Amino acid sequence: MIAELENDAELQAILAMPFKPIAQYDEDGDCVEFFAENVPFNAVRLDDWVAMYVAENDGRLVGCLIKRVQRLFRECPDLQEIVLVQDNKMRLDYFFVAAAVHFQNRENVHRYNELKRATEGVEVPLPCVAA
Amino acid sequence: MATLPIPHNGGLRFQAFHPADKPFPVVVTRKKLLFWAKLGAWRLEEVKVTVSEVLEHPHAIFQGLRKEEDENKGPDGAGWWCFVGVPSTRFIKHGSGARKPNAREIFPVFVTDEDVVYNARWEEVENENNVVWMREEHPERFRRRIFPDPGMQGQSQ
Repeated sequence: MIAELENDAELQAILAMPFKPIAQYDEDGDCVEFFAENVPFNAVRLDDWVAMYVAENDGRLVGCLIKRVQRLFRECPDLQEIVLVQDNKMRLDYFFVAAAVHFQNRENVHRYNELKRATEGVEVPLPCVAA
Repeated sequence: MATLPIPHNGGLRFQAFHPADKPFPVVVTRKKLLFWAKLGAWRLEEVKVTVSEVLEHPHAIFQGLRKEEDENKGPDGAGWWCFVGVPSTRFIKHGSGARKPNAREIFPVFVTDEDVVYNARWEEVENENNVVWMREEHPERFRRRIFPDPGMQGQSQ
């Protein structure tokens, strides 16, 4: 391991903690990443907005990436209205319901349903949402 | 083997291959590093070793993710890059080591026009092997492939 990382108390504390599902908005990539499990995964690109993460060993759903979040909200204010709850938090399960309708991509409806179930109740704070 | 990244503002700084210039620095931010570390030591190894390997020795580089194209900068649309490679190993969870990637696995690393890594993950290509996939254009995902140059097939690293 790189010596500085070994001496990084915050990083070492995180590595020592038991895993629980996590989600985070990334300002650099304008994307939300969610992990339900901490296992090696493959990304499966569903469309221009969503990639689902499946476990490398058996293909079960373990996470996802939602891209272009702020841009999508700027382009589709109705979607933003549904998906954002109080304190500027994004409900991931609401996103997958609304996006399935909005994108009208029938091919991925069952996968969006699966993602909705996996992200039930998950909220991700967004820094700000452009009007 | 790739050069390991060096600590940078609490995150990591890598040297990325440039097809027409010197290697250039690319970073994983502190916020991203801590987020990915929550997955465990295997993911940290993947970020340090696998991301380094792909950034330093990509098999292909694609430019301009389709939906980001109107945010690209520069006269020729120089925007977000996707480095793709087949690293030498794939890390397995909880210290159980690593294995060789199979013939369908690739590892894309997505980099913004600010040279920040925002996503890095394994994918399995469909209906073909990874070498064939990396030599194709994939217009449904990217604006163009910038490395290897379409006229220089067979000279990728």
